[in-house]
Amino acid sequence: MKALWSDPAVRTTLKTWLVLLALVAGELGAALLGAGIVAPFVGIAMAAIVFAIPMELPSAPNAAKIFALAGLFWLVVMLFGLGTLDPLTRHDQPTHFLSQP
Amino acid sequence: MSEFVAPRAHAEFQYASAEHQRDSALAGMWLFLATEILFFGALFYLWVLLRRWHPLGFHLATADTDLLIGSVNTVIISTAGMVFFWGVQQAKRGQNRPVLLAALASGGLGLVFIGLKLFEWSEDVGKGKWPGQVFQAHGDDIGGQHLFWLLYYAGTALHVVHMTIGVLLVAWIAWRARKGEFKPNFYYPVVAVGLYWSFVDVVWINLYPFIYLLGR
Repeated sequence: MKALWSDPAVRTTLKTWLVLLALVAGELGAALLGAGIVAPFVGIAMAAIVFAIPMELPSAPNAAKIFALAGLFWLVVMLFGLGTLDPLTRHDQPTHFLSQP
Repeated sequence: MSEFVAPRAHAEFQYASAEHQRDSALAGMWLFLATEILFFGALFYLWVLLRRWHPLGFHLATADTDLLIGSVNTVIISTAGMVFFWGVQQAKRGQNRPVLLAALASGGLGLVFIGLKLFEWSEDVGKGKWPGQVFQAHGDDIGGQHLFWLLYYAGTALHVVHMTIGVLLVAWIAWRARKGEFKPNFYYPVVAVGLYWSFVDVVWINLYPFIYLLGR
């Protein structure tokens, strides 16, 4: 067991796994206590951990880093930027058809 | 006249070295994942917008989801991702047997995830939560609840399709590890599959709060 723990690969894997499980427990607990609004932010934090450790983005080839950042960049520009213009500027939101099953 | 230099092990002719081949493969996988970020990003963005327009309907619909199965599946998928990550690290050392074990365990957990999801879907449909004429709900903002369940099936079905592809890829890695193909200078298929498998994990990690936790 000690020999297993002395392996850095095992240590990194176990520590990351435990942190992820703690975050799942944290967001679940927060939701049950009526603070579910924090859960998506915990999800983003968990995603950042997965990108950094199991997906090894910081040590990835430069081209890979550029592609990963390009994905996030265009997500922000196309969806959160251009996509938000319509709902923010629309004055005749068609709620009537959304309110019926 | 230049001297002929034999390529290193497992480097195809178009690459200068095994490292060049590995970096190209990883960059290619990240390029694919960038398209996946945009693909799933649209789903999450739509979820945020519709939730903002129908807070009550989404709140009521969330209460009808199976929190236990959702939470158990979140633990399962996080564990599957970390088990395969351990396998990736063993592949870099050229250790094929641990890669085989990690792939089998991780793929098995993936199958358990899919099985639980199928069971949950049957439960949801049994409760009348299937979009369309058969949809049943109580309380206010039925339209909002209807939209929630539309997004629920769209998001979880797309995720299960990705999960199924991931299980097949992990099985392919297990098959190659069984043949002893991975070496310290040839392991990039394991890393590339690990990237995809972790990304599927990231998608679920972010679906979980939207489906089961927000507004509970």
